[in-house]
Amino acid sequence: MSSGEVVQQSKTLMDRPARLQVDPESIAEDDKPPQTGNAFNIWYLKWSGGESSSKRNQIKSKFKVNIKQDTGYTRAKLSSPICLFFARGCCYRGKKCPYFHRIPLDVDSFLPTQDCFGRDKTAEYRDDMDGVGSFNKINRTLYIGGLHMKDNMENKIIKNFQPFGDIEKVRVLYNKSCAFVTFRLESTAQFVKEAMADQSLDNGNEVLYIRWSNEDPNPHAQRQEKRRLEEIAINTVKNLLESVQDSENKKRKVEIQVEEPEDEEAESENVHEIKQIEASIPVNHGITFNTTSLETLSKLRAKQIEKETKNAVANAIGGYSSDDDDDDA
Amino acid sequence: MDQNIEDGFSICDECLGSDKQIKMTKHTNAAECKLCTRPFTVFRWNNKTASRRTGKTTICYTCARTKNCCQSCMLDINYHIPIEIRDTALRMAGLDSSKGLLTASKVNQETKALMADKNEQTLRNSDLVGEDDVNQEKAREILYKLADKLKNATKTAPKNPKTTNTEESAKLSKDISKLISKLPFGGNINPDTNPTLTSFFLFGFNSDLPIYAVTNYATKFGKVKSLTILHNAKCGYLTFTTRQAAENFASDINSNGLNTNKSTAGLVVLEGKYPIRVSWGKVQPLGTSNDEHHKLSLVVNKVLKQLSEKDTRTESKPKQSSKVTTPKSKNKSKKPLEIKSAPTKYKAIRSDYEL
Repeated sequence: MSSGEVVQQSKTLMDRPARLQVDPESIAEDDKPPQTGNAFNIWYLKWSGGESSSKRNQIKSKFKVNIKQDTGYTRAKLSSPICLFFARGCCYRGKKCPYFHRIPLDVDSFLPTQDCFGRDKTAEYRDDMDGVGSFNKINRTLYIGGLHMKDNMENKIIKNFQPFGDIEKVRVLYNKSCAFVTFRLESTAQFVKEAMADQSLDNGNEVLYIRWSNEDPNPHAQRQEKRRLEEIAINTVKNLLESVQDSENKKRKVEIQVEEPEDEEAESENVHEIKQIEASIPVNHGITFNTTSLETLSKLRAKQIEKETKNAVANAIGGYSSDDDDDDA
Repeated sequence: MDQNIEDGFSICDECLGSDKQIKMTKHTNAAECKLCTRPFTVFRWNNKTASRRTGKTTICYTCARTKNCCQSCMLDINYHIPIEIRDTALRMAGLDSSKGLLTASKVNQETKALMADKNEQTLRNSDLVGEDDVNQEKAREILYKLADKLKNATKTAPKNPKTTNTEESAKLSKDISKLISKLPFGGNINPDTNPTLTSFFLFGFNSDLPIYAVTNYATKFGKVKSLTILHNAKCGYLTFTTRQAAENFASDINSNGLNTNKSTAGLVVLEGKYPIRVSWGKVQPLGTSNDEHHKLSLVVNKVLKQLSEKDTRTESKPKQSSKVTTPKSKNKSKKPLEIKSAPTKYKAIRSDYEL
């Protein structure tokens, strides 16, 4: 399955209502996992204490998401995150769910401080590298533990993980029975981490243990990662330069328009509006303004000017000098 | 000015949205800053025009200013790009942006808070001097400086590190010769040579080849049954479900203009930057240990090297019209487009072992 195919597929799949993954009636009143410790921690849904507390839970999840079957439209709005329970294969709301029931795509723009499920990231990883992840680093690599090694594990892993999105690299350590999988998108890694945790490959017996991966200590890999970052940086700067030049062209246009005759009425209206903006927030909420917020305001003003330019009410802008545009870069 | 530190905020336009009036709520010391762990004033707002309806600040004003980012989305406040990318770009241009603050991850809470206090003090001082107004100008200046330096940087792009040297090749022992003897390095991609196979042997790619590039290309011709890419060993396998798909795949590579000599492994350049050699081949075990993979990769390198030598030899004969310039990566740029005969190459590999 190629990426284009995946995108295309999930688009066509989104035309139908999302399937109910779990019947709400069938949910047991008490869905604690089997007792493995002395006390049940309701916050982490885990047993603690007792002898086996040091061992990790080896219980296979009862549910598993099937992307082809379960994807569909829900009540999610454009900026909604993806449903965490969908990823785990146990959303009982189906098409009434307020979150997306699909895999993360290129077009999604998740907040960098949150993961694709809308959970807040932290500055540091947890000690066991589990959890939502760190916002200090874009981590696209997962550690997959608990594998039962066979020949050609790479193929097996690709087969099982590909439905969730594009895989960039698979590295299997046969003697350690674990693997590292790198995805193209960070959001795919986040999704897979939830979707495949406590699952097995091809309905086998193993229980996967998925964590964030640490940085690859291999110097060759580090050089490669550095090169990749630099490539991205170069592209970003190029794009930025283009946009800066664009905005400067716009500025020049505005300068030219200054020489045109002015429409006094429209201008005064404009000024009035801007004053309103400046007045509104401090009066209502008593927030003291600093330079940043003032900058924001002047940006708003600049945006307004651009809008007016677009609407071909060119004369209206006449009154402003190009200084207002300076912040727009 | 003290007021600024307490009540100011740095939030980017994208997060605030383009609404003319924004209603914000302010909650003093409502949360712990995720970076410096000190309590800070949280702002929350709703905006219908923003990409997200609700917003809230997650790090404190001081941290945001030292990192020059938005308090809500943590993207660069001027250019709206990830800080990681910005810092890489700055480092490439020789401008170190990190003031050595808060970036170190292995400091404990108290140190973080202390460092943040220090930063706050310096920021306050700079406020008194009035540096803030210059910042916008400065940011643009840096961007231009960066652009200049990057132009030079791209010209002298870093060379790929040499992967082979004599010492490494000396480590080559005979224990993988069994593996290698089964690998079809001398195969070709003519459809009539292997009338039943549906699988291909892929080799000679760089370690940055993404798997999705292969699948994207292969699924154009039919369903892929299995795919193995060992980046460490520089080789792998691709199997189609049907013979028809495999034949289409082979003929597409045959006719892509890079393969005039039909008796050798086909060359295909994926997405304009990832070169791969392809030949028909039955799926064989490629070894499981790190050691084996490493040795295999050395062999693949050697095969490619031999091909390049042969290429320079055959170039003198003006038989071939294959002067195609392809956007290959650096260490493959001398890679040949032709191999003359497979058996001689095998001999060469063997002789390498005896070294």
